Amino acid sequence: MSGQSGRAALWWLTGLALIVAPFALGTYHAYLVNLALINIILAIGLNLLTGNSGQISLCHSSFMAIGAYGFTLLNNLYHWPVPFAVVAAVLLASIGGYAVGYPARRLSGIYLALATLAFLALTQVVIEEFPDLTGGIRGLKIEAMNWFGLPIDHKYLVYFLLLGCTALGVYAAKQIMDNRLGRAFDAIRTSPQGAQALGIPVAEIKLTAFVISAAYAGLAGALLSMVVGFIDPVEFGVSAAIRYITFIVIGGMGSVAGSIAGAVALTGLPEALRPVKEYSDLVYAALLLLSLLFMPNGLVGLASALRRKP
Amino acid sequence: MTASVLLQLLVSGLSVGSIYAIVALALVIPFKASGILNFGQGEIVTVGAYTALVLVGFGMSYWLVLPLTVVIGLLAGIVIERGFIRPIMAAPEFTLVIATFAVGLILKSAIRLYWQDNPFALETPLNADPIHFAGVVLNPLYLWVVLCTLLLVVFLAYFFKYNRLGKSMRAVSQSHDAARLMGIGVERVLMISWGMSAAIGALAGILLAPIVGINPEMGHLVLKALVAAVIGGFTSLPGAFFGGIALGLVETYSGAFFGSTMKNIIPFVLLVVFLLIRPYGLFGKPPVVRI
Amino acid sequence: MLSVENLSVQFGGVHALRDIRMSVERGEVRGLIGPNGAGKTTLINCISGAVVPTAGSIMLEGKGVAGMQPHLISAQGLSRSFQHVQLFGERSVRDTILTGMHRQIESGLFSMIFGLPSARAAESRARQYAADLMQQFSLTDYADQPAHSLPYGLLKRVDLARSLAARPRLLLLDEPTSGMSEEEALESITMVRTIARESGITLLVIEHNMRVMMKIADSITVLHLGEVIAQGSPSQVQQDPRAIEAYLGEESADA
Repeated sequence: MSGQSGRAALWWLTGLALIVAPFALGTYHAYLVNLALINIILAIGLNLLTGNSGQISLCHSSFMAIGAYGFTLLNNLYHWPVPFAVVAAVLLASIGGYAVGYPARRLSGIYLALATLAFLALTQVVIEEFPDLTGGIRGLKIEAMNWFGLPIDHKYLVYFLLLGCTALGVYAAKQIMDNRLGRAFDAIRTSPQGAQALGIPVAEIKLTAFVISAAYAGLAGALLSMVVGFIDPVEFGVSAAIRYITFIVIGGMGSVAGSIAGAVALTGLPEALRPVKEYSDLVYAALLLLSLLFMPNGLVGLASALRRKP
Repeated sequence: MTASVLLQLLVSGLSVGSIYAIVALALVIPFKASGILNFGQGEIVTVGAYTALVLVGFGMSYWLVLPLTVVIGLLAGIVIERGFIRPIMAAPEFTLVIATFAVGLILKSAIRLYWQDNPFALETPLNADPIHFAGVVLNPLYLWVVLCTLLLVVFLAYFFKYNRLGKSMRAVSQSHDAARLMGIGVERVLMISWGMSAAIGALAGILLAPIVGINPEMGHLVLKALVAAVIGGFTSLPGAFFGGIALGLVETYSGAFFGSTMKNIIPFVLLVVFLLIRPYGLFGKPPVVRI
Repeated sequence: MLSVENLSVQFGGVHALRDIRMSVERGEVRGLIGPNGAGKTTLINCISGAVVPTAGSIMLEGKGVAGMQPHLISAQGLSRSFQHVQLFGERSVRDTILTGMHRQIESGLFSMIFGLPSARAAESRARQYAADLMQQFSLTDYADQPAHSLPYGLLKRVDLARSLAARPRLLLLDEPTSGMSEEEALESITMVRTIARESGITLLVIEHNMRVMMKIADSITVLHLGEVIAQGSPSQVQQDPRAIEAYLGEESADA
C-alpha cells in the first residue's frame, strides 16, 4: 500500500532530519527545534491529563517550574551529573503532581480549576518569597553543567538528551493510550459512572493522570532550563499556563498526534509574531477562543475531517 | 499591639475585604444565573479602572465618572454576554472555563497594547488627608470603599427581594425551565445578569484604582475574589459578601501578625482547605443530584 | 450470594422502594420485572452503589455493601449495565470491551510505559478474551469501529460483552435487550446466560420483554410501586394473580 510505505518514509525522513538538525542548522533555528521538542513533551503530558482524563489543569506551568528549579538548584548547588539531576527534577515534579492530584481527585469542573489555580498561586508566592533560593523575580541562571567530563560540545549533548527524552515521552504516551491505563483515562472522562460500574477506581486514576502529567511537565521544565540557560519565573505564571493549554486545544485534545501538532505549530507562532511581540498574548488568546468555538477537535480533527471528504 | 493599631487594621481589612466582596458578588451573580464562572472578571475590573482613567482624562468630575463607569460596565457586560457567552453556553465545562480566561486575556493584552505597563494614578476628591478619629488614622479612600460596598449590598438585597427584574433573576437562578414556564424571558435575564456583573466589576475597578494604582495586572485580585466566593459559597450572594469581608480581615490581620509571606499564602491555603472540606462554602448549597 | 433485607429508599416524600426483601443464589439467573415506576432501576442502583438506601441492608457474598461507593462495590465482584449505554468517546468496540477488563489485566505502570514483556503478555491475553467475546456476540466485524457509530441494538450487545468481560461474580443488567429485534434479543440473552453459566456468574436482569425473561430466568421477582408483590419460578409468577393485576392495570392504562 503506497499510503503505508509513504507514511513510513515520512517517519524515517523526520527522524533523519532530527538527528542531523543540530549540525545543519544555525543557532537560532536549532534553538527553535529545541523549544519545539520541549513543548511537545509538555503538551503530551498535559493532553494525557486534560484531553484524555478530562481534568482541567491551570497549574501545569507550576509543575514545569518545579522541574526547572529542581534541576537548576541540584546543578548549581550540588553539581549533580545532568542525567541524575533530570531524573530528580522529574521526581520532584511528580510529587507536585501528587500534591495537587490527591486533594483534587474528588473535585471536578470549576472546583478542580480553582484548586489548580491555588497551586499555581502558591508556587508563585514561594518563588517570590524565597529569592535566596530561587532568585525571586529576577530569575536564576544555570551554572556549568556536569556531563561526567565528556569532551563533547555542550549544545550537542543537550540536544540529543532532549531528542531522546522526546522520543521516550512519545513512546510512553502511546504505550499508555494503547493499554488499560489510557482506556481508563478516556473512560473516566466520558463516563465516570460507567467507569465506576466496571470497577475502575476513578479517583485513583485521576491521581495517576496528575502524577504522570506532572512528570512530563517537570521533564520539560528541566530541559528548558538547560536549553535557555536561565530561568525566568514569568514563564511559569497564568499566561504561560493558558499558552500551554492552547497547544492541546489547537493541536487536538486526547491524542499524541494532537499534542505534537499543537506544540510544533505554536512554537513557530511567537517567532512569526516576533516583529509584533506585544501582540503575542492577544493573538494566543484569540486563537484559543476561535479554536474552542470553531475547531473543537483541533488540527488533527481538521485533518481527519479533510481526509474523510472524498 | 495597641487598640488603635487593631482598629486601623480593622478598617484596612474591611476595605480590602469590601473590594473582594464586590468582585465576589460580580462572580456569583452570573454563576447563579447561567452556571458559568467568569475567570475573566478580573480584567473587567481592570477595564473599569482604565475607563475611569480615560473619563477623568476628559476633565469630568469624579462624581460623574463614577456612575458613568458603572453604566459603561453594564453595557460592556451585555456585549460580552451576547458576543462571547451566548454562543458557547452549551459547551462542556472545560471550554467555558478556558474561554472566559481567553476573553480576559484578550482584554488585558488590548489594554497593555495601548497603555503599556505604565502605572497610572487616579485623582479623586477622596485622595484627601487622613481623618483622625478616636485616636485612629483613617484613610478616606478606605472609608469610601466600605461605604460604597454597603450601599451596593443594600441595593442588591432590595433589588432581589422586591424588584420584579430581581425576582425574575432569582427564578432563573433556580431553574431556567421553570422560569420559562412562568413567562420569564430567560435570555433577557441572562443578559442583564452579565451586565450587572460587569457593572459591579467596573465599580470595583474605579474604587480600587486610587488605592493600588492603575495597571494591566490589576485584575489579579480576581484570584482572591474567587477564594472569597468559595468560602462564602458560589450559590450565595450574602455568602460572597461575607466571604470577601472575612478574607480581607484574615489577610490583613495575618499580614500584621505573621508577616507578608503568610499574608500572601493564607488566601490559597484557605482555598484549598475549603475545597477539600466544604467546597460549597459556608452558605452555599450543593447542586441537586438528578437520579 | 446476594441478600437484600428491609431495603427502603425514600426521595423526599416518595417511597421508591419499600421494605424490599430478596435473596439470590449463586449462579442463579434472577429476573426482575414490574410495570414502569416499580422501582426496578432504583433497586439495581442501590445494589451497585449509585443510590444510598434510606434503610435496610444489602449483603454481597456475606459482605454488607449498602451505601458503599460504587467502585468499591465493583471491586467486590459486581458489574452492571445501564439503560443508556455508557460509551467512552471515540474508543472502538474492541477498546470499549477491553475497558471492562480493566481490573483483570495485570500490568503495572512501569511495565506498561516501557512496553515490558509482562505488560505485553497481559494485554494480549485480554485482547484474546475480548476477541472471543466479540465473536460470541457477532461483533467481530465492528471491532475497530468507534462504538458510538453503531446502531442501538449492536451497542447493547457491546454493552453486554463489556459487562461480561469484567468477569464479575454478580452482574446486574438493566433492560439489556431494549432496542433489539425479537430475534436479536433472544440470541443475545441466551448467549449471556451461556457465558454466565460457564463462568459461574450470577445474573440479576431487569427486562420488559416477557418472552425473553421466561426463557432465561431461573426465578423471577415482581416489583410494583416499590414493593415485592410476587416471587417464584417463571411459570408460578405467570399465574400469580397480583402480578397479572399489576400488569393488566398497566396495559389498560396504556390502551
